[in-house]
Amino acid sequence: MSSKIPVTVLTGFLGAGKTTLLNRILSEQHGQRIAVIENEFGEIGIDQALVINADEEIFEMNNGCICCTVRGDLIRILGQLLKRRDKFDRILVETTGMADPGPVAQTFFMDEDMKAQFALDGLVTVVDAKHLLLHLDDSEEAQKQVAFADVILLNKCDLVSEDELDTVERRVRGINAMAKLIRTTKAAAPIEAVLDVGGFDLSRALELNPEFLAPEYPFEWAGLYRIESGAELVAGACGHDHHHHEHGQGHDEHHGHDHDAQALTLALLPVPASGEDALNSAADKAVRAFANKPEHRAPGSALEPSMTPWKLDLSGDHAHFPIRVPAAGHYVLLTEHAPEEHHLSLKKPDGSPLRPMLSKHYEHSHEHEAGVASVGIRLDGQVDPSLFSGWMSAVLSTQGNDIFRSKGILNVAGRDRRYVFQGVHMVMDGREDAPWGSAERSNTLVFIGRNLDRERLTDGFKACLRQPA
Amino acid sequence: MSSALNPAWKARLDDYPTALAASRDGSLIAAGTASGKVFVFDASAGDLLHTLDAHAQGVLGLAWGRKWLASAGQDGRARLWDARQGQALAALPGKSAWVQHLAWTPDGKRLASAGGKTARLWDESGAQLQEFTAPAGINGLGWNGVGGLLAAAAGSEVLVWRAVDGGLDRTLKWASTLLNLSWSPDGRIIACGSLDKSVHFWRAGPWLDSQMGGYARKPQVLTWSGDGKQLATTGEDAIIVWSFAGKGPEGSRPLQLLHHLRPPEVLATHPKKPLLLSGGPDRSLLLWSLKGGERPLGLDRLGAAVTALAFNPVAALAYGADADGQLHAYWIDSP
Repeated sequence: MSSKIPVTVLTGFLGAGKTTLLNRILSEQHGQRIAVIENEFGEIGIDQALVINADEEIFEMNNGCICCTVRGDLIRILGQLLKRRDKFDRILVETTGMADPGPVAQTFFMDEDMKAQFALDGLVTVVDAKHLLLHLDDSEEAQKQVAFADVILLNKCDLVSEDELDTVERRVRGINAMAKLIRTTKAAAPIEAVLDVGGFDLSRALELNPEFLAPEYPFEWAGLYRIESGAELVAGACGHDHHHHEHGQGHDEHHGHDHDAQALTLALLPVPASGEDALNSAADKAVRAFANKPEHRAPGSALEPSMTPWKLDLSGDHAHFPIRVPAAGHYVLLTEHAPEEHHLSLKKPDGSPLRPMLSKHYEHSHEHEAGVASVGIRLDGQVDPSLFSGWMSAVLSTQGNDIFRSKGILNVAGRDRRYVFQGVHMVMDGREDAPWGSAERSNTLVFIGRNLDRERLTDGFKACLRQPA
Repeated sequence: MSSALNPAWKARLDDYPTALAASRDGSLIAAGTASGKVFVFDASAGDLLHTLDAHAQGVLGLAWGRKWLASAGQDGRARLWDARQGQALAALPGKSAWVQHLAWTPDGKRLASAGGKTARLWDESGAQLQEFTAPAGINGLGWNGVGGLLAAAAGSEVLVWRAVDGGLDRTLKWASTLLNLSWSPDGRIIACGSLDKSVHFWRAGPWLDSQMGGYARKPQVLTWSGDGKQLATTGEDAIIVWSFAGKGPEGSRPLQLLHHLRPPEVLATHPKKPLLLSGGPDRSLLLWSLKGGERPLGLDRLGAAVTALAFNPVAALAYGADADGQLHAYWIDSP
């Protein structure tokens, strides 16, 4: 691995700030010999780098199957670079805004010669915070560039408001839950966050930020409250203001989704203290709670903290649900949809509004997300290796076109070490890695792609788990 | 085993050798390197006659016409040289793309060059006769036996152009990207290595295609025997040689020349005799008879990977160069 020359791929639409980032890398890495392969004419202001222009040239294996395509221009140019006496420390490939990152990545896994000499370190995608949502809506290339990335630079942050940034960031997270996301102005990202990211390095698959491991939550919102018995939850619109209540921009994507307005699933979990950590740990716990079958609750019936979620009947205009807690304290309420969609609120025993001390929006795995999205699976249990490999090859052979990237860490039955894997389309690579030791064993898988069926993937993986004897 | 390869002379080049070519009269051997220089030697004695500053960023190809040497490079140009005098004759203009392929007509009077998606036809003085545009990058170039038709592998197609008016004569389609092109010296067969790990070929006339598969790797290099009856290819641990004599190669078993410790990457066939040179990352340079026989006729172990090979078409000499820039010449003592 160490003797291979690292390759970093920069993608992003024209004008997003790719060339700025490239120049920044070149000027800060002046000790290194860097070759730049450019598919787009940019102004590279550094003399010492060798800059090679090339057309993006797709080599196809079999009647245009995307999983079998590689980039011929890269193979040719990188092959020639190896012949030079002055070897390079690093290769940067800058693609055009219209480039599909799939063939670029596959070049380093499917072509024997490239695989032997080069190591794809990571895909860095630069996006323009102001125009990204627009691009994502009408460009498959933009979606793919975000989906494939190991690192996403949310650039030109100075041109948009904090609220807009949050909206963009949530959208980006919905597509790619495993990339490192960095907000930048003038592409000023720390170099170490962009180079040597080990995006395709199996042993670094473990460094997935835990926040992203369950990237899709079965709930959209969580709020941390101090609750005492006698409080109640109120749902339904009062008065006539519900047609013009304020919607955050983030909800623009929600139109058209077919959730049941007559019902809402939620969970209430106790937490030991207030604070962000408490909220996050409750969210993690709630992922498991939401996996349980919810119990129906008619208006007027009481809600208690439980690992079983409640499905509230909201068919009436207005519904009250008393909250019973064993003791006054901190609780986290997690709701399937954002509370404002159901005009949900909490009231203190005296009828005054009870507001959350802390709240957070989550990217919910909507069934209507027919576009590019991430599916994260986290389950306890022991994986049966033969069932898993059978399932995985079936998934990749039938959906490999639509699955851009996959990664995972598995607890394989009878093994002391973590099994890590990752793939690009149909190409997959896996091996045993660090021992579990005293760490809590679990399985984490992330798929990024198009038309992914979260439930089917989750069920499929569940079937690979050994039943407790 | 007495080796049929006997050291004749050696010379040092300045960088990684990318191309070797001996002149048609057998008097000169030219070597191009990754530094962009072309070295011209006396083919028999090994004296360095000229060092040409050919291409700013590396030489990608060399080919001899009836009088002149053509070179192609990463500077986006092809050039014509009077190599005997060490003089540049013409710089053939191109666009920014690397010029990767050169093919003289069999009579050596007209030169085709290709870089990116463009192929061009030049006369001996460097005047452009035609320009051809392919829908994809050109990965190989070849003339039919008499030089009237020029074929280019581009993407998953072979485009066949008429030299006389620059028109497209026909397009031959395959489903997978074609990596190279070699038109047999007798003009009967266009063969291409394909990314799907096969050799795909078309028979001129009916233009029906067929393919020979079963390769472990991409058949990156194809070369025809001088009589056009055999096609030698890389892509396996052994060199695979298909026979096109009689009805073959369909349904036939190829000759498999196995002696390299690692898959060979460069091949050269003798323009007249049934002889083959092979070399690769295992540092060995082997001489084979194409008439069969399981063992090479001769071998030498070089100091680094063998990167370029050539036969002298007249004198009984063979040449090989290694990645360290050492050029070796051998007398061939063949039966």
